[in-house]
Amino acid sequence: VSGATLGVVTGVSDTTGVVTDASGRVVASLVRPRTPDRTRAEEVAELIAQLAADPAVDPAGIRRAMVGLRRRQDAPISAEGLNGVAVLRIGAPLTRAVPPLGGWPDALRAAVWAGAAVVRGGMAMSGRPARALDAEAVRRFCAAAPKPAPAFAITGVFAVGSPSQEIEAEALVRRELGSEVHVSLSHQLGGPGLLERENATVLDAALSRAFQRFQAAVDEALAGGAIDADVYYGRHDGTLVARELAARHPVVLLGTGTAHSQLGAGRLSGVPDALVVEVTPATTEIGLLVGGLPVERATATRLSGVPVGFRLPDVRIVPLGGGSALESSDGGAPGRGPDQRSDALSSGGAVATLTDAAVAARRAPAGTHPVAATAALTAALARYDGLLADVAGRMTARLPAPPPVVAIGEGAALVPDGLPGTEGTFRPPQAGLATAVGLTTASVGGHAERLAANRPGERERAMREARGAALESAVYAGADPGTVEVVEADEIPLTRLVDPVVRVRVRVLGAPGGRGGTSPRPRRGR
Amino acid sequence: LPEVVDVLLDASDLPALARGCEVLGSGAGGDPQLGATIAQRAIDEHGPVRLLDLEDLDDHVLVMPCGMAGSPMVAAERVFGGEEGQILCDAVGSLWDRPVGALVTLQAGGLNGVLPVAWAARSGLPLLDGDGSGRAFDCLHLQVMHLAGIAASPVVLTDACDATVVLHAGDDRTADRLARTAASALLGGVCAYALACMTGRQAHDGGVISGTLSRALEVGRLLLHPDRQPAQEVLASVLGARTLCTGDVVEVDRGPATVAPGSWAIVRGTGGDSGRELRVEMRDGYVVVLEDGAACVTVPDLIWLMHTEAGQPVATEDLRVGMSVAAMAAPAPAPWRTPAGLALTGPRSQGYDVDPVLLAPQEGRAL
Repeated sequence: VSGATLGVVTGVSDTTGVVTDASGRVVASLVRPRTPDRTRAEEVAELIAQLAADPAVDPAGIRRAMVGLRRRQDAPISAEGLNGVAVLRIGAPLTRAVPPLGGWPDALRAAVWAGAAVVRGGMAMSGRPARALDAEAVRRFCAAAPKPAPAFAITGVFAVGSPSQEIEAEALVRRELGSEVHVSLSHQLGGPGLLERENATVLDAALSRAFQRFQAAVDEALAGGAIDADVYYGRHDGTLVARELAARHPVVLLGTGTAHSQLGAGRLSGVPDALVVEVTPATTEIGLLVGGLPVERATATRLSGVPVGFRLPDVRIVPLGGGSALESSDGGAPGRGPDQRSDALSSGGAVATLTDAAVAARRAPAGTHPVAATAALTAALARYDGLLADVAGRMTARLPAPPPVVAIGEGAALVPDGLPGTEGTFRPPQAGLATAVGLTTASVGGHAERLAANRPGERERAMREARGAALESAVYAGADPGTVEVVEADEIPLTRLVDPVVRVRVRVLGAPGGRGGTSPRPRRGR
Repeated sequence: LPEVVDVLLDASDLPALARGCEVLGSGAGGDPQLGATIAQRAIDEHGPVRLLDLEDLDDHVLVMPCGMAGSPMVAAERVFGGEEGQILCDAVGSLWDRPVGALVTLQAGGLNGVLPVAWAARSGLPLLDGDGSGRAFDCLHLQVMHLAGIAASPVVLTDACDATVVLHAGDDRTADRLARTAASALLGGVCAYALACMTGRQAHDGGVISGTLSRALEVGRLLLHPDRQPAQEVLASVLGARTLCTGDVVEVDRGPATVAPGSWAIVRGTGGDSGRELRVEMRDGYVVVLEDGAACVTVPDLIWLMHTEAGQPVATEDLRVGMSVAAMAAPAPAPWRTPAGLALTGPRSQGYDVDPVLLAPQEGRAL
């Protein structure tokens, strides 16, 4: 790796940035509390400008810039800022038992609704068209779309591995409404399971304009700081995607942050297997790192109640963090946090927070003002410890050996020693920078799925094809082709078919290198 | 006469029904969530579904057992057109020369437990509280109708799109083979089907396992209850399930293979079960559990690998190395524990050369 790397993450309460040199050492860092009157884009832009002006930083030496848009993994999607989406599904007469956006919460549906149609067409499991795309119906749908044209989300039956009709429909939409229309195609976003894939595709299209504005601000800030770097964005699974791909598929950025914190924790502590406990002002998030990668959740992901088929890291969220206000009498129930950190007792304010409880117990370093230990503070801290112990015990129960704890986040000092199921506690000195450091060290991922007849020749051909497609998708996402390696390849026979079919899945990882965005050619799968 | 109080299934019951049917699927039968999404739409448009107790079923009513055949994963991609139930009712009505009076699901386990709710809503017909197997099986003759001597044929299959197929087979095994071939080869990998149609009288005489949908609802409601008890306790208290071993999945072998048997997983005990190792044979669902080379429980009993953290059953297709699970089992419905039932659904019928090993049912805690 040559040159320096910039990592910026905007979170719920802070914006954090680091610059690391070619060896990964942090040469400059900055943490700014977020204020309600500034947008995330403004926060990021200001932080980039400040870091670029840091005398320890040579802006011309920065080769890569990684940006993370952190949210709580389970945070609802705000309807505000979403743009309208025309939803086109290719599959009639199949699929009509559930209409597009069926089962979405009303507010979210209302925010994105710009018409929907289920048109005739769709592929067969074999990869051949089950019926031809009804081009006339697509044209009619375009003609009926509101003006100016909304973003389009196109989802076809069995498009994963055989996307030709989605691509055909995209061409029709562009011919009718112009090449500037944002079009999201489902085969680039998900695996089998039409409804989940369609949901992800619609959200993708709905986020496109807001993300464009954000990206323009980031680009402008980088240019203003005389930084000429390849830009990557953090993806929900802990990998990175190049700027061009992020612009096309902003939905993959939702749920970002936690996985990168865990990667950063591993990097800062040098421990590949760990229970990572991150204490933010409002929450404590606990995840497992195995072999340097975050463990994935077993259950399906829903965003705002909408199933999207993503594989997110398995993170437990304890709704208490360093800034959580304690309700005095029993010292227990979490209240609303103070509006400013200066409201905390240890900063001279009048609100008792969890951090104050840790200061009183001499677990956390003293603030500007002394905090006297009270029964209520002691009880609150004990209750917090109990919650962490419970989660830690459950998460580590299945591991062959107790892993160490790596405590990160601004409130890392609040994590008690000796959590059950663990052995030893690492408190890396730059614990507050873990997410930004994780971003700078993340890989670029690729993924592909195929269905094939479960016969030796066919299965192997599908596996070869899926490897090729996964490699292409990683390069598309901005990976250096020479570094891409397969990290997961599995074959799962589908049940209940007389002529057996196997589902082949391949995941790859590579180092960031190149600007990505070279669109993979449509491949005819089987 | 005592007044019959209608039990109505409405949209708010669907999450619990789906969760319960997922449990009864014991690792097979597909994700009932798709069925719940489809049924919700149908109930929103046509109103709730009357859940009919077998006791209240008239002897002369034509009962249509129905469900989907083929791959649940393909179903998740093709979703269904929505008219399947009506097409089946019309075809069965003309084959029998009388209208269908009630629907019953072929299998309460998996997607099939919920999908007919949508069809009942659209057709306005009641749905029997019961099913044909009390779980999920991958062959269509593994139904109590077969034990009760009700012929599977004529079988009606439809993809509500390109074709509707009517099969008249000489025996139920042939009907199964032909129907599955049609689902796979002609109808795109998944279809809706109806078979073993019967009168209300035949339903009373062993043609239906009674009460399985309400059991599914009970399991689902407990699992979704805000102060939920652990899933293992729910399965124990409602279904009489026992935990065989708690541990981690350390190996999953899906075989070179096209045709199971040949798929299996190893669960290595942890905590109090350290030192133990179970081998779990998989076909469509989990079929045999072996410890130290001996079978400790087999089909037709219900067998689960319950994800310890998520508190949900893991489908065989989703099983992965590294998951921590509780291997559990519960007694099969009574018709399967008879000699004829075991001959039909025991491990030998699934290609495993071991004798059936069944758990003893507990009073009031079983399907």
